[in-house]
Amino acid sequence: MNYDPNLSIEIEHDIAEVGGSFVCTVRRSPTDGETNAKTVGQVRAVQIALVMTTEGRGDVDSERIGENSLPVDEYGMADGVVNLAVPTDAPVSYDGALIRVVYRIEARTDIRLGRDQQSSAEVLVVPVGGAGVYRSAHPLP
Amino acid sequence: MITKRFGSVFYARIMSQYGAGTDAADFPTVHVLTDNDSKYLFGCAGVGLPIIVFLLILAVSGGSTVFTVILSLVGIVFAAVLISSARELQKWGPTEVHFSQWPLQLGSTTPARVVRVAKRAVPNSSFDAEVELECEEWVRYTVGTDTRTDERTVYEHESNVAGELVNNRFEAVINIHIPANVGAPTIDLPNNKVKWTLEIDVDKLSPAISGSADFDLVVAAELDPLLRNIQDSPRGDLS
Repeated sequence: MNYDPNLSIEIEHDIAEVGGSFVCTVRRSPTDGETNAKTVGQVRAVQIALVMTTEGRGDVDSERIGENSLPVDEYGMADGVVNLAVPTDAPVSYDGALIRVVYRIEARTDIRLGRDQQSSAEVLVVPVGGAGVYRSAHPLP
Repeated sequence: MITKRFGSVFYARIMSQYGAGTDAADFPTVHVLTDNDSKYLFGCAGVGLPIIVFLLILAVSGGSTVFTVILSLVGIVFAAVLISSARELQKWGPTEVHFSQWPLQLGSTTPARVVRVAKRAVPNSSFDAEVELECEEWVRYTVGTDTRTDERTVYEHESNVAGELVNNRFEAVINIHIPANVGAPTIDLPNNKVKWTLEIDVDKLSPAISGSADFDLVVAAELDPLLRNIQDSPRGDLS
């Protein structure tokens, strides 16, 4: 994964209940090479999604949930608040014997004729009623 | 399948039952699971047996002793399954579990009623039923061109409950506790699953009622209200 130092994600609460949502502020500032006349308009958008992935013994199950797109100006600058909903039937963050379920918020710059770059931040999805109880993935200690 | 919702009134009733220790059998049913293993076995054996007999006739007419012996043995097994499942179906209806809450919540203890109705008259008596609750992780993975699966039991709890066979109806009340500190809510992804099963076995102690029944439970990603930290929660109004 490429980490874009010019792309930042600020999450209001890094824990959300199933059926709840994550509110995050995404900012992208143009890189040094993007401010000249040749590169104007090269960055088309910043895409933000909640990504669920399994880890462990089994093959990976992965899903991009609630993808949002943030508009950018001609120099590739973006600044906006995005709401990412967690579906009611989504699995919770889980740390089991054979299975781990992990969530992250991923922001990706869509660059025309260029390699997309991305930043991500790990978040927790907890059971309904668990926002004030959980500090790590299910199960409770 | 019966599905009724009683909302907060229902929950208050369940909570008061725990506190006061009143008759646990007096709770509303919001969901019923039915075990149809006997019908399934009867159907499989009913379809399989004619096929085996047909193959056996071919083997005998073809003069193949080895195939004749093998198919005879398989045919005997199929016939035994067919006869026992037919007798079971004649004698008893399916085993049912009547839940007072559905789906189940993490950290909750849910009273449920195990019911099996006899189709013929049977004498009244008391029995114990063996109840096993299990949470299992199941994964599927590929190694080269092979697809393999693996399972791990992460929670297992066995208990015995007393049941009554009265007026041709076997009934036992069980309390299903779903721990919040082990296992997970039901997960159903293509390659990664968390499954909860309830096995009820009443044949060990009673010749009058026989058979065990397996039920797939659904555990929701929802904490029991007693475990929620209402003050800290930004969604504290959920209770």
